[in-house]
Order: sequence, then C-alpha cells, then structure tokens
Amino acid sequence: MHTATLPGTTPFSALTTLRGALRRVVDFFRENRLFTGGVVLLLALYLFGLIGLQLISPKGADMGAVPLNLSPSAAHPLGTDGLGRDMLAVMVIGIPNTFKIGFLAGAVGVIIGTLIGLFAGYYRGYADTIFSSFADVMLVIPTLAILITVSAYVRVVTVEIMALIVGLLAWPLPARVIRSQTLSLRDRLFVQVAKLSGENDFEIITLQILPNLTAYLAASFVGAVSGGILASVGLEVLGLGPQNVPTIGRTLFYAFKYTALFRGMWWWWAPPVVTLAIIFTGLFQMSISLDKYANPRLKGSTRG
Amino acid sequence: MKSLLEARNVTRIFGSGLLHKGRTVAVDGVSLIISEDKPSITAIAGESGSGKTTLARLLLGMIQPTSGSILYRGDSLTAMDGRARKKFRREVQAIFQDPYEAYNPVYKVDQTLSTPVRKFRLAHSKEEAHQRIAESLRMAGLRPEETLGRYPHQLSGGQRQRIMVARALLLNPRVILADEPVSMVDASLRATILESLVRLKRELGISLIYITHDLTTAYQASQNIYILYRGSVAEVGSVEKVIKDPKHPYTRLLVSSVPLPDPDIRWGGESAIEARASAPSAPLQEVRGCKFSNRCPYVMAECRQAPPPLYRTDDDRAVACYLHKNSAPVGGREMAESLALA
Amino acid sequence: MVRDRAQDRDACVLDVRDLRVSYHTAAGPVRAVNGVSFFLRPAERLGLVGESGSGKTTTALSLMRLLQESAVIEGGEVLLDGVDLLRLSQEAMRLARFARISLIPQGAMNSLNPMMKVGEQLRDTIRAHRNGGNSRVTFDTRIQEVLQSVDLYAGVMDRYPHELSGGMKQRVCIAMAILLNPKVIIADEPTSALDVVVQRQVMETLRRVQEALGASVILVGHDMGLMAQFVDRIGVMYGGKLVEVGPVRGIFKDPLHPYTQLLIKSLPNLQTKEDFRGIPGLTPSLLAPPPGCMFHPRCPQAMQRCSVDVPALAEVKPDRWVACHLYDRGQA
Repeated sequence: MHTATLPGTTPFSALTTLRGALRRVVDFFRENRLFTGGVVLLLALYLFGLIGLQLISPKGADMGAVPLNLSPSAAHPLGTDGLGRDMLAVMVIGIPNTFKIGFLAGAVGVIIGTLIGLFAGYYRGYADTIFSSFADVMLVIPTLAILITVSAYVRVVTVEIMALIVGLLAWPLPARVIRSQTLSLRDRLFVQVAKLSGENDFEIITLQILPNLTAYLAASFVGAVSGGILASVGLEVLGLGPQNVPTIGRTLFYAFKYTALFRGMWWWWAPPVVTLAIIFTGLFQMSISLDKYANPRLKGSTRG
Repeated sequence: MKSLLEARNVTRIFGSGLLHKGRTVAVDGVSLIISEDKPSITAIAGESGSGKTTLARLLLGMIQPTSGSILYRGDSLTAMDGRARKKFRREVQAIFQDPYEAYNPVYKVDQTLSTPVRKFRLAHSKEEAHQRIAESLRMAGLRPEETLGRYPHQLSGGQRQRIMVARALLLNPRVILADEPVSMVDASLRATILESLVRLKRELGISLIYITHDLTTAYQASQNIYILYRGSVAEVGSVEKVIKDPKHPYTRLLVSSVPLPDPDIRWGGESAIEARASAPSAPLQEVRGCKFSNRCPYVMAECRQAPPPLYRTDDDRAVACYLHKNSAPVGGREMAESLALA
Repeated sequence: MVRDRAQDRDACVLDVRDLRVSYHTAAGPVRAVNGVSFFLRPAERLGLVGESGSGKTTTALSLMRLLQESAVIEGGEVLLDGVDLLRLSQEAMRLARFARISLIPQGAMNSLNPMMKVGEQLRDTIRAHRNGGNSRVTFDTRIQEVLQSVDLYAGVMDRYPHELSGGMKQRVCIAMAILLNPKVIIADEPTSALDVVVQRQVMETLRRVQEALGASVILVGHDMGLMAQFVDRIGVMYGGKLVEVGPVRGIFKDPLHPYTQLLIKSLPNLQTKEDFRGIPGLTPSLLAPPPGCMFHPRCPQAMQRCSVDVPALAEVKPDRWVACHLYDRGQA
C-alpha cells in the first residue's frame, strides 16, 4: 500500500526535493549517452590536469626552467618550448586554468542572465523593455572587441578577473532565453493556481517557474562555458589576458610569436590545439543532447 | 441582503490604442451578485468570446476591471488592504477547466494541497496538515492513499480535477468559482464531479458560480443563469425561465443548437427562423447598437442604433432585446440584486 | 471474435474483423484495441462512442493506418469493398486514403498547414492521392464544387487557415475529406473545439454532404447528444472492446449492456431537473486489465462468471449486439 507523503510545512522542503532531483539527475545521465560522453571527455581532461599536478613539478612551467626546443623524450614527454618550459607542465597547469575560466565565466554569465531574465519576464513593463533593449544591444556588439578594449585599461589580470570580465559580458544570451521562457510560464495555469493559494511573487518565481527552467539553465550554462573559454582563449592568443600564469591560449600566443609551426615544433602548438578540440567536442556533445529538452518536443510522426 | 461577491457594472477592455483598432471589449458593463445570506448556484453561460472567462478572472481578482468594480463583502478589491485581501483569497476559491495544466509538472500533486495549508496557516503541525488534506480529499470523493505522492501525469483527468475540488475545499471558502470544471473530463465522471460540487452547496452552504458553455449541465446544476454574448448580458434569470422559455434570440439559438440526447427530438425542432441566424464572421467588429444585430433574424432599425437595456419580462428574468421593450427596463445591478434575494 | 454474417458481409461497405492494436510504452504493452469487429453499411452513419482510453480513436485511426510510431496493428482485417486495407502496401494505402476512405480529424487548427493557402492544400490532396496528371483547371473546378457544397465561398481558396474561423476551418477539412468521393468518411470528434451553434452547422453540413455523396460515416466521439442527433447506429466501446452495437433509438431507449445503461442514465437533459448520476469507479487500466469482462469491477449486475470469462459480442436481438454474460442463452 502506498503511504502518503507530504512535504513539510516550511517553504523549502529541501531534502525531499533534493533527493528527487538527484534521482532525476542519475536517470538523465543514463538516458543521454551523448551527454554523458561529453561529460566524461571533459572530466578526463580535467583529471589529467589535476592528477598531473600531483605527479610532476609545476616549476617546469616557469620560463627557462628547462633546456629550449627539445622534442618529446622520456625526460620531457611533451618536449620543451622556445621559452624553456616543459610542455607537459604547461599543459597540466593550463588545462585546469582553462576549465576554471570557463566555469567561472559561464556561472557568472548564467547567474546574472537568469536573474535579469526572470525579473524582466515576470514583471514585464518598463523593467523588461529596458533590460531587453540593453541585452539586444550587447548581443550585437562583438564581445571580443569590448574585451580587447577593457584589457587595455586593466593592468594586472589574474585568471579570476578575466573570467569575471568575460562572464559579465556573457549574460545577454541566457537572459533572453530565460526571459522568453519566463514570459510563457508566468501565464500558465499552475501559476494562477499558486497565486490563488497565496504564494507571493518571490515564491512563484523560485518555486513555480525556476524548477521548470532546468533544461534551459543547463543549456545556457554549457553555452556560456563554451563562449567563455572561446573568448578567453581569443584574448590570450592575442597576447592579452593573464601574463604570469600558463594558459592554453597564451601558449598558442607564444607558439605563433616564435613561429613554432614553421620550425616544425609540433609539440608546442599541437597539445593546446588538441586540448581545445577535446573541450569543444565535449561541450558540443553536451549542448546537442540538451537541445531536445530545451526545444519544444515534436509530436511523434505517424506511419502507414 | 448582504452581498458577498459582486461585480458592479464591470467592463474590461484589452489591448492598447486610443482608437478602436486592436481593442477588445471582453466584458461590457456586467453586474452580478452572490448573496451572503443564502448559498446559491449561479451559472454564467456563453460561448468563446462571450467574456465569461474574463469575468471569472475579474471576480477572482486576477485582473483589474477597466471600469466598474468588483466588491467583496462590500469592499472594492482594489481598495483592500493586505489582511482583507488575504481573507478574500481564503473565502473565494476556484476550480479551473484544464486538469492537467493546473499542476506544476515538476511537483507531486501533494504540493497543490500543501501550499494553501502552509500559506494560510491552516494547520499547526505536519500531522494536522495531513489530516486536513486527507479530509478534503475524502470530501471530494478520493482516497488519500491512492492520490497523494503521485505526479500529475500518473493520475487520470477525473482524479486531478477532484484534487482541485479538494484544494478549493481546504480553505473553507464561501464561494467557489468553477470555470468549465468538467469540459475536459470524461462523460461518466462529469456527473460525479458535478454532483460533488452541487453537494458542496447543499451540505456545506458554499455558493457556486458555474461557468460553462454547456447549457444542459448549467440547467441541471444552477438556480440562476446569466447568458453572455460578446461581453454583455443577453438574458438573465432563473434557469427554468431562461432555458425552458428563452426570450432573447441568441438564447433561443443556443438552446435550439444543443444536441439533445434523444434521437426522437432532433435539431430543427424549433422554428426555421432561428436556424437562419448565421455563424459569426471571423473578426469581431465594433458594432454600434445590439451586438447580436448583425446575426439576428429579428433585427429592427433601433437595434443598430444603441444597445438595448435589460427589460424585465418576468419577476425573475430580464432580456436585453428591443423585442421586449414593452416590459419595464431594469438596471443590471438591480436585476442581479433581485435574483440574489429570491 | 469474428461473427458469421454471410448476408451482411456482401451488403456492407466496410467490414472490420477482430482488430487488435497495441501501444508499446515504457511500462509495457497496452492493448488499446482488443478484438474489435463491426461492419458499416453503405450510406450509413455509425457512431463510435466511448470515453478516453476506450480505444475509439485508435480504432478509427487504424482504419486509415495513421497511427503513431509506438502503435502496432497486431491483427485483424479491415475490408473496404472486399479489399483488406491492412494488407495493402504503403503506396497502395496512400492512394486509398482520401480517395476511398478519408478522415476529418479532431482539431482542424492542427491539421491545416498554416503556411499554405487553403486552395493549395486542397489541390495537394487531390494530387497526393490520385495518380495521373489532371490539369490544375480540373482540380480547381472540382474544389470549387466541393467548397460550395460545404457552404464556403469560392474566395476561401485564396485564404490562409488563420484567416478563417474555427467552423470554417472545419468545413475546409470536410471539403478535403470529400474531394475524391470516398466511400467511407471517418470523423474523429470533428466538433470538439467548436461552439455549440457552429457545431450544429458543421454537423448538418456533414450530413448533407454525406447523403449527397452516398458515403458512409463513422463518427467518433464521446458526446452522446451529438450521436443522438446525427447517427443511425451506435457502437459503444469500453476498455478496448465493443460492448454494444445497435440502432440509435434502441441504444437510447433500451440499452442492453450495463455500461450503456449507466451511460444513458448519466446523461443530463434539458427537460427536467434531476440529480446527477455518475458511474462510480475508475476507467480500467489497460496496462493491468481486470480478468474476464473489462467492466465487471464497476458493473452493478456483475456475476461470478464475469470475472472469469470474457463475454463475446453476440447478436441477441435482430441488429442488437451485446458483449455481456447477462444475455448468454443456455450457456453455463
């Protein structure tokens, strides 16, 4: 016999919702192989960095730490570059940095975008007009141009600061997506019912609307992470961005500067390129699989 | 007579524009009164575009009238303070048409019941809350152990709708507004759900406002009926008079179009004149005069000049039609009052 | 349950025998149509009545072979003028649709292409279901003829669906269904989204058109009032099976199956005020159907036998078919 369960009489019955949410997450991974594949790819890369840091010395990434321009060997599995850095050490530090930037920028972008999107979509009116116009304008201006300009003024750039700046420019797209979903959700019948049951605006937004946005939040996050990594690598390749920390983009910057391509020093430019390829493949797999949740489901086709 | 819930000459216009372009008059000067003294069942009947859904939302305070007012216990909704508003929310509840859309798919159905308990502080402990919820589920004809703990898609439409009834009951309301409560429910279950709603009035003294396009169930369930056409009241009065002896040409058209479940009484039973009333053309034009005039088989010159007032043809019935101008004209509010008193 | 109706078989235009359709869901197979047999006479209007889950829509769509991906026709025959539609090739079935058996779907709003003018869609119907090159002029003549017969003005051809009212759109669907002079028209709740006044007009148009064509109609729905006004015979479905079939008057005045009886009793009328009488209990789960008769858990006249044996649809009176053990003569 089924026993009746009731959520508690406190606003957030966190435990019940959390348990249910966790179960749904596990089911999700099981049902979406492509997505899981993407996650595995990214996780593997990140772990390569994390574990690598335990195994080899980060000092190898300092300039002049090792002899220059050595091709891969037992002592230096990924060779050394023209600045005297052990490539393996550079990768092992650079990869987690890239992830850090991506996730930070993605998180900042999505959080700001969601807050704005929810507010604009729910309250509509003047706030909506202002925020939407602002977002639309920002979407049109090339982010890289803004970033380059900002970089000219901000002297000391750490990884975190760059991620923050990139993230601050990443909010318009999530805001648009969340806003349009909020616009349609706010008029749904269950929202009216919740209002009649006494819920106030804050509860409606957080308890009624937000849980229905998980697919869009996830998709926006993946998109923002991709965008964040792309923008930051773009900056770094141009020579802007963090100077003192080895990053994937910066490595490519040096590789171009010291014509590694023509000198046949493939171990200098190939690892960053391969890394980027893996990262974007993983992110792409994730975003493709989320598509079917974020897009209206098509009805089943008929057959004769 | 003390009025419990009242619509006083409310009008609601949608769409912007100072001129008439893009403007829809959804509700046009409608008055309706539910009395506090005696529980009643009032039907608001009309087809799509009649304004009945908008009127429901006005009565629930979900939207504001463009002119006129909605009064609860004599106080205008817009002028109420927080505490009075909370009381209004408790005493006026609703059941909606779509038993699926009414639920947030992310939560189990329990949430729809526990939310009002929580927000209106109906219980002081989890056990008490559970008691109350189980009680109202039973009053709605459901078994708590078969319904709680489930997601909306795991229950049938009939069960979901009955949970909505239970939800409405939780707050011990004085008035329940049922907006097409059974139109999306199976035929065999309709009677059961309507029966339970009617019982609410009989046993618990809760007044019901039954909004529907189905004249048959409106006739069976209610005492009084308001027939709406394009936002205005075409005919209003006791169901016996309005349904069995309709006077407004639109009401007559409606009644004659109802498919009776009797193969021996087929359509075409009434005079062919009614049958000639044409179907509404696609866009709603602003019509000077009676809104039905461009479809009415009895249209006269004066019908196109100004909209007719309500003419009181019987003690308990009024028609907005110049065909009956020999009867005394009566104001919408006056008529509503007298019906509520009866 | 195939009955021997030698004489009727020759006279009928559609003969459905032991149709079985299942949906494959995550929770297991669901027998939506479980051995349904009935026949349709020429120029006859048959109503297929039932609630959600009864299998009526699945039955109707199977006749057109227009089911969703997850549905499988597991057995039976659908003989249209002696030809089994279920055994036709995809191509042959495509040609048969609208030319020999057509469909007026539920919710016209969803079945008309919002991006194409009405006239173009009607031309498409002709083109798609008829081989051979006929000129556009011939098409248009036929289309205008048909539009006129459903009381639509010829200018409708140049309109987009969103420019038309609900009733007009539904009439376009009727026009589409009769364009190629089919023998059988299936109307799947054609008026459920329409107002009662428009509903009457659309149904009267359908009747007029059907009578002129000499076609047969299967009206699928759950509105008994509509059935009473429109059809000649009614088939009542419950839990994937036909439980009663008979002439419309007989069903309403003298229902035989307990479910039909309760259904008729539950219908509210406009003559006298009376109590609402519903049918207690829930519709049966098709995933875990009750043993024996599908209706026995809710049946006020259930006997021992009903939970064991499945009753067969049998002709207990001339042209009155019931699937109920109450009417088993001389069988233990």
